[in-house]
Amino acid sequence: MGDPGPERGVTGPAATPWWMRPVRAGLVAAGGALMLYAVLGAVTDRSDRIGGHLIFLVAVLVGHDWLLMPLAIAIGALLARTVPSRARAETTAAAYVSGVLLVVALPLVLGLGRTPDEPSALPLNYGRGLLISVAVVWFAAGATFLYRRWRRPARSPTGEPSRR
Amino acid sequence: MTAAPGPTERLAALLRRSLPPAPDRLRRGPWRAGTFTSPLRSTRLTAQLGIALALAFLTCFLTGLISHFIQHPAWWTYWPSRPVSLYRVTQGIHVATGLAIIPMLGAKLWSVYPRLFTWPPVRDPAHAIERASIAVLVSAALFQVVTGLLDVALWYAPMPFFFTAAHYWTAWLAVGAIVTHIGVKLPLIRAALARRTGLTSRPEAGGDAPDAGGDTPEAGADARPAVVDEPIPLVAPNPATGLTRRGLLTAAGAAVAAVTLATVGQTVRPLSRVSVLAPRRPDIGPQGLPVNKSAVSAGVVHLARDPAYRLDVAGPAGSVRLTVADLAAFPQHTVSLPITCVEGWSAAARWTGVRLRDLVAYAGGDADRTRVHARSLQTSGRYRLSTIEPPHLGDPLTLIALRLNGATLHIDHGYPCRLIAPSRPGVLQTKWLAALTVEEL
Repeated sequence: MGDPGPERGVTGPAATPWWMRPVRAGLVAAGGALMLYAVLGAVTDRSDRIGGHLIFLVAVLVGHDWLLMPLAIAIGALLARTVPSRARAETTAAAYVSGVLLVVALPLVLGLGRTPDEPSALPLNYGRGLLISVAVVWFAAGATFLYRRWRRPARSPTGEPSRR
Repeated sequence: MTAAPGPTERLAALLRRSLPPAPDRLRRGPWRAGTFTSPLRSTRLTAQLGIALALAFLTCFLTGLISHFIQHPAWWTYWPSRPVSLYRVTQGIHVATGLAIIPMLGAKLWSVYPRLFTWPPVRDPAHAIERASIAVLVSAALFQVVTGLLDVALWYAPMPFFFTAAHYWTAWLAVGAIVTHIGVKLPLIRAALARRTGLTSRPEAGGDAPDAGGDTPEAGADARPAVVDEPIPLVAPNPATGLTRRGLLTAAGAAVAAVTLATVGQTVRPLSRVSVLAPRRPDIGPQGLPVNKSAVSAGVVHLARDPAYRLDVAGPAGSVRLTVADLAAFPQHTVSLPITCVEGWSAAARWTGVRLRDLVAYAGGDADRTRVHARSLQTSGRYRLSTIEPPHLGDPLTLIALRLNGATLHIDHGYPCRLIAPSRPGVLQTKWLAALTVEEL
């Protein structure tokens, strides 16, 4: 991988301990060797099907960087604009946990892995499960909000007036 | 890494040679300065999430290697038959940790997302290599999580490769990329974790994430890294306006807890009713036990129900062909053993049948110095064969089971007879046994 060199401007020269350079070089070299082993292994493993493997590696990267994350950030920006500031922490947190649950549940809700001869595989109603789990999350967020208001009633340490 | 002049130095200079500057008129969209405004992003947050993620990936990697080498043994591998639930625990941890990685990975990638739009995109060849290695890291990590999730949901159609092989090799790629990444970022990680309170006035309350977790050997002059590479609000904004850094870490913890509670009941039975998103319920299936491969999909229904069925047992004393009645005439033993699937579910059941070591002795073998090859009635499929090595062969809990939970084995559970052994993946608990071959070591 080459020597990446010290991060620019992170630590002054005086702050770099003696072990930093050899440890970094060792980690970079070891990681490079592991990656090389992975590539050689995948290429020589006849059962792998390297073409599809590569396509999928690119697809998950593009799907995440250009679809999922922009969507998540857009939702976050929307929440920041619409939710009153005193409730924003819990709302943001609940939206994030709900998003995670949606990702986990999606392949189960679609249920395309089901086969008629194996009724014990994916036996639950996952749409219902998703609704229940998301409802629990928002209930917990609401309870946290109320608890926080009760513990620290409408006081703002920096004097910033809350909206509304 | 000496500073001797020569090829090393020339290479270093080449890697650091600046590329022509990118024209500013191309700096549009997310590449513009000020696109990403959340004050929550900080090197410290990224480092903390990164350490948690690295530990989670390491856990998945090690438990995954265990599962891999049980199924593809090398000359040096050894896997004990006790404790009975050992594989159940390692594989349960593998899948649960893999699912828990989803929220952590999401938060981590969010925290560094603006760096995807660094300007200029590439400064010099070294920068290009670093960015490429980051792409490999992110891609491999996402690949592991997505393919693991699809596998747990038994949804193989979107994966244009053989899941097991690709998941295995990408694990090495991901771990290699993580190790490299830690090497590249070590000074940043160290600085981010060494800082306690920030530049702003309001100190954080006690109970902060422990710095002791990171390796911060405070040695002499370098106790306090001086400069920071970006203006980071070390104390997140007023909690009334949104999440603090600790609030975000709490939310990530809550997401991990939510995902775990929603799924882990597939192997932790007391939670099975709570786990509304579990791909399996340990008590749903024929005879109250889940099935991974049915007799129909294995194509063995006729062979298994054939009255002429015999189990071929071949050993040093010759071969015999045993009917189900012959098997039932051996001393019968009842054991309680879990069936554990590589997909992470497991369920305990009561199995009744013949001790495998009794059959080995009957075939003229010594259970301590033999291994047994089991073959299924299946005519195709990766898992129609399995091998039972001495640790499992000699274990009195290892049975050729004829009955499950007090009734004749259901055909989907392997009627007429199946292998059941402690601490072994379900794919190696061969069903619809056709033949056992005793090989002397």
